[in-house]
Formats: sequence, structure tokens, C-alpha cells
Amino acid sequence: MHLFPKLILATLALTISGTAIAQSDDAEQLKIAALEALVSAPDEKALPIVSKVLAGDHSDEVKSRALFVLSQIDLPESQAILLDTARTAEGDLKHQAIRMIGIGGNPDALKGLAEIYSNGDANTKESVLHAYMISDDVDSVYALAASAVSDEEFESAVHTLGVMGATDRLRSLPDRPGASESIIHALAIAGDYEGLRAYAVDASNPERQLEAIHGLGIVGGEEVGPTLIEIYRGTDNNDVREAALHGLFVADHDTLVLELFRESTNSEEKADLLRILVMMDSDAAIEAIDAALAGGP
Amino acid sequence: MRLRRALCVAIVLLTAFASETFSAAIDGIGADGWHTWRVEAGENAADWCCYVWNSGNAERTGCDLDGSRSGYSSSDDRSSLAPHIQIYTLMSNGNVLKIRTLSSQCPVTTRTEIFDLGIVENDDSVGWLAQYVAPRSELSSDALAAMSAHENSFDAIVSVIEDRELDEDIRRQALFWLVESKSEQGFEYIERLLVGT
Repeated sequence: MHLFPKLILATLALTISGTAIAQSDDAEQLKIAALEALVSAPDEKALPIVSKVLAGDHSDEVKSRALFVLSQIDLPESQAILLDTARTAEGDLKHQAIRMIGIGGNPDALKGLAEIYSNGDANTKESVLHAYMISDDVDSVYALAASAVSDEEFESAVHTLGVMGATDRLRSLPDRPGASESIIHALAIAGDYEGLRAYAVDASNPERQLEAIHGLGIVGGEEVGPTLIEIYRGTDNNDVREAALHGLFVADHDTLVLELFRESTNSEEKADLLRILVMMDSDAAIEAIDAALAGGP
Repeated sequence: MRLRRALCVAIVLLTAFASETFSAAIDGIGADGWHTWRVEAGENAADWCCYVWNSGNAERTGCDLDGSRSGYSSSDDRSSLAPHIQIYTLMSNGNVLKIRTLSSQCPVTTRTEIFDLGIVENDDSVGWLAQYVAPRSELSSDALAAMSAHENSFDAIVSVIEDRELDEDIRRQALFWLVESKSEQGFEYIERLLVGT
């Protein structure tokens, strides 16, 4: 790694940990400070020292800092040690090593995480997904989602794709029974209006449609309102109408709810719409009430 | 024709004292303005100067001592290492306001005169700088940075690291600058500290 970024990192480390030393054992804290200082050292100087720290008898905190230094060393050996620690260590250190591979972003080390994922427990799998998210490795998360052997694995990977905003990948996932709910949730997390709209206007799968309408409400924004109005007006299915109305409520489109209120000729429906407007604490509710009292629409 | 005076006046280096009288000279500096002296750089001391980033490359420029920027920058280009470093200190009313350390090859500008004390013994320079490490102040880190660039400053920096009476942040900064000195002795010390060998 070049000196300038290293200096910045080291200075940051100094700033972050500046107050901790007095609160703990002096020798332990000196070791931690020494490791933080090593971030700015030449790679070939830092690597052997950090390797010895990891192989030695030190606290998890010291080893954890060593892992961070290792993640900043741009040598193949450092990535191999990180991967080995991710494979063989236990507890927090294992998860920390996985996380540091994510922070380091070395492509080979990231590839190595796939094996750790497939052999790991639920916490390990979660750590690997998190590492991929940190390194913005969409391809690897997609591969895990596409090859998931359980619904839990699939949902976690799809959720991660959503957090990463990988909407294209979410839309291109192969068909999987019962997968649509997870994908729709992920599309909502990713704020993918177009993806959700496609499901929301498709009445061939009512359950999926309701989830997608709900997702549109969460995504919100100007373009969501007209879509929800279109869905509301275009269906006889009460569940779909209720979902669209709820979406308008969540997306805070009170003027559109007022529009529906004004055009409705059904007193029961008008009462429902007015209730929603009141819940939205909207000026439009007062407007509607005043109009009703005046005998208007 | 009347010469136009530049905003940043060219430095006037006044060699005031010979090196053997440095201690007396440095103890006696009191005049307002910048004072400077030159010492032998550590074997791997960085080429500290001011740089600008141009299309991803660091381009070395001169440093304006009066400017607000006072960070440390260096180049990985070992061919530009200088055998000496230049310490600059700004005095006002008998107090040290700033300490800056640059490569002796790094051009500087200032609006005032620079009083040059010439080449001095490293021990004298390190001893003077050590006065400003503690108590913790804005000068602490700059003094440690300057010390770390001197040849044979290892003992002085380690004494700061190992002084449990000192502010912990100062000790932490001493560790940082020991690593920055990139001396073999420094890395051996860090290794002993961490793995006990």
C-alpha cells in the first residue's frame, strides 16, 4: 500500500483510539498502539511482525488489531494468512478475519470465502455475506443466492443483494418456489420501483402482488403514487384495493387519497378513505370533512 | 525599473552561529520569526515536503511556512531522499508556536526572514525538541515527528514510549513516529514489544 493512504489510516487509528489506553492494561494497550502504528509501515516490515502476533499467545483484541493491519498489507501472504485464520480460528476472531477479508477486498481472498461459507454455521455464513457486502462483491452474493440449499440461505443472500442495491441481479435470479416474497422484500430495500411495479400490476399471483404493492409503499416517491392509484382503480379485489390504499398511506400521498375520496360514490368506501386521511394527519382530511359538511363531494 | 516584490519574499538565510555553538544558540533563540537548523537524517527518513496531487501522482512543490497547512507528506521515491533534514520553529514573544520538519532539499517560502543556525549535532536538536513533547500540546506530535526524522533518535523516542508518567496519547504518538522513522532498530523494538523476542 502507498504511503499517503497508509498515513491517513494510521492517523485515523490514532484519533479513534486515543482515549482507550488509560482504561486498560498498559502492556496490552501498548501492543495495540504498536499494531495501529504498523499500518503505516512498509508491507514487508509489517507482515512478519503481524504474522507472529497472530501465531502467538495474545488476547483476541490484540489479534483482532493484527488482522486489521494484515488486511491493509498488499502482499499475497497476508491474504493467505487472513484466509487461514478465517478457516481455522474460532469465535470472534474467525468472524473478524472474515470481515477483514471484506475490508481488504482482495479478489482471491474473497473467492476463498465461498468454501468457508459452504462449510460454515449460520453465523459464519452471515459473516461471509457481510464481508461480500463490505467489498461490494455482488457476483459472489448472487452466486450464493442462486445456489442456496435452504430457504434461510436464500433469504439471507437475497436480503444482502437488496441492501447492496443489486436490483438487476435480484430480477435475474432463477425461479425458486416461494422465493418471490424474499425477492420483493429485497427489491423494496433496494428501492427498485420498476421491479416492484412489474409484480404489483401482475394479478396472476395475488400473494406476490400484495407483497409488491406493500413494497411500493415502502419505496415511496412521486412515481409510486400514480401506480398505486392505477392499481386501486383497476381492481375489484378488496385485498388489492386495501393494499394499494395502505401503500398510499405509507408513502404519504394524502392528496391522492383525497382524490379517491372525492371520486368515490360509495359511502362505506368514503368512510374508509376519510379514516386513512385522518390517520395521515393530513390537511386534506379537514378539507374533505369541510366539503362533506357543505354537502360537496 | 522598480522590481516588483513578490507576495512571498524569497527566503533570506542568515547563518547566525557555527554548529559548535548550537546549544547556546538554540537556547538563546528568542527573536520573533522562523528559526531553522539542519541535522543528519535517519537512514530511512522520509522526504518530507509539500505535494499536490495531479492526476493521481504526487507532485512536489515548495512549502509555505506561513500557510495553514502543516501536515506531513512524503514521496516513496527513494532517489530523492536527502541526507539532511531541516527543522523550522516559529518563535513569538519567547514562545515556540510551531515546529515543522522538512527535507533539507524542500524549498520553503515565508513572508519573514528565516534565522539559520546552520548544521547542528543531532543530540542537541533532539534534546531541544524533547522539551516540547510533554506536557501534551499542539507541539507534541510535531516535536515527535521532528525527532523521528533524526539519525540516532531511537533512544529518545523509546524513552517517551516507556514513560508511564506521560500522557498516553503522547506515548501512542511516539510509537507512531517510531514506525514512521522506518529504522531497523525501530522495527526490532516494535517486534519485541509485540512478540517478546
